[in-house]
Amino acid sequence: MDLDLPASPETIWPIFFDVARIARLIPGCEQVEEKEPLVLYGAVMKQKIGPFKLEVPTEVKVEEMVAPSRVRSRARGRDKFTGTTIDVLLDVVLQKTEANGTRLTVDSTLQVAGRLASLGYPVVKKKTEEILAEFEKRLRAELGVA
Amino acid sequence: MLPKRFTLHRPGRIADAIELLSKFGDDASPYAGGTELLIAMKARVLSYQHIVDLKGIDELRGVSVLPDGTLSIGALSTHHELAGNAVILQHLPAYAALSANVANIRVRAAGTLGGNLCFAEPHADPPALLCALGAELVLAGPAGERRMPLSEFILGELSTARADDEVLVRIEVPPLPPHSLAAYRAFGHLERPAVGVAVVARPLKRGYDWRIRVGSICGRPTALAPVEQAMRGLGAREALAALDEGAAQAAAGVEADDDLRGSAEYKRHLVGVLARRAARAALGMKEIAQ
Repeated sequence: MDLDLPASPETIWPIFFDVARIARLIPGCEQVEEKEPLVLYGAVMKQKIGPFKLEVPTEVKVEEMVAPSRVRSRARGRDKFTGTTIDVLLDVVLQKTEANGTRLTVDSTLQVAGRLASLGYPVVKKKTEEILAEFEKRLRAELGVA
Repeated sequence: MLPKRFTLHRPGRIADAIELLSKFGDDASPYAGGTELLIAMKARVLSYQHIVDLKGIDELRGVSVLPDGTLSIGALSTHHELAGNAVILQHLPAYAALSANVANIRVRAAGTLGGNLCFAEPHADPPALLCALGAELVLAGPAGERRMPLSEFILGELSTARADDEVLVRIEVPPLPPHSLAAYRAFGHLERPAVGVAVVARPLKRGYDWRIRVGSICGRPTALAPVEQAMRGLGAREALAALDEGAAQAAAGVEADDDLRGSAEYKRHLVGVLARRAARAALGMKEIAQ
């Protein structure tokens, strides 16, 4: 995902560490907490996918950070009932543009495993991709970008 | 693994089933053949506190032809019943043949058409052909009955337009004009199809109006629209030539998912092969090995 934003990286950067604000941008994200500032965060992802109800307690660890231009984080969680595990690696890069704006690039890799996957239901992977797409949409709206 | 404990309800009328489903909301699931539901419950990926067993409801059974020629199929009809049903064999032999090849005999004997459509597992045979035939569904809920095309009912993988408090009552297939053609061909390494292609051709003054629907490849049956257009109104041989020429390109535009049954690329290849085989089968021609 690539976004050209009409604000400087210094203005956009704090959004990614404003727990309440970022939670609003991720569909189904609840009970967000800051366990260790700029290092470790917790959240519960609640999703209904067709007939399946998932509740994934997730830990988000910041693996690498260069303020205000790059943050790489890893979100891992497991739904207790279905045994579904989700592992998302998010690499966010903010690059200053000539017009004092920002080019925001988000790369994500996603792994899903567990009984849902082994039964041949690729729905969790699809749902996670949908969540990332919705995150992009909400982030655009939050920053006032069409 | 055993499923989590639940309460089993056995209503005898549609109205009673709707009342139960309304009362318990998404804590309840209708249960027909159980060939999808029970497997998921035993694997502990699905759990409900209440199971509403529909098998005692006679209103959901039976196959008949309505006065206007529409074929009415009760939602509780099993695949095995449909494969050997005299009315289906007479009016829709292609559908009887499809039913005879669903999964294995245990699934065919217990699994129902209604359950198959409502669970909406995309790797299923019936949706593609029923969509090509223009089938409609009749659903009953607290506000009465409503109907909708099957093509709109399936929203995506494991997702339908059925509300939690609705019961699928019957599937209605509009009559085909005389001399119409239909066939379905599927392929998969496992019991479920990786890809299935349904072809229905309604006669025009010259040639046919073709409908080609690809099933299993993504969340809902998909039309091979460019090829349908190219084949419309052509004689049999020209239509097949148009299909041969356009199938691969049309298949390349079909949404496809990588999964246990194959890569998206492999499945798109199957679309072309199966579309050609189904069209030849519909025309009563020898299917060419591809």
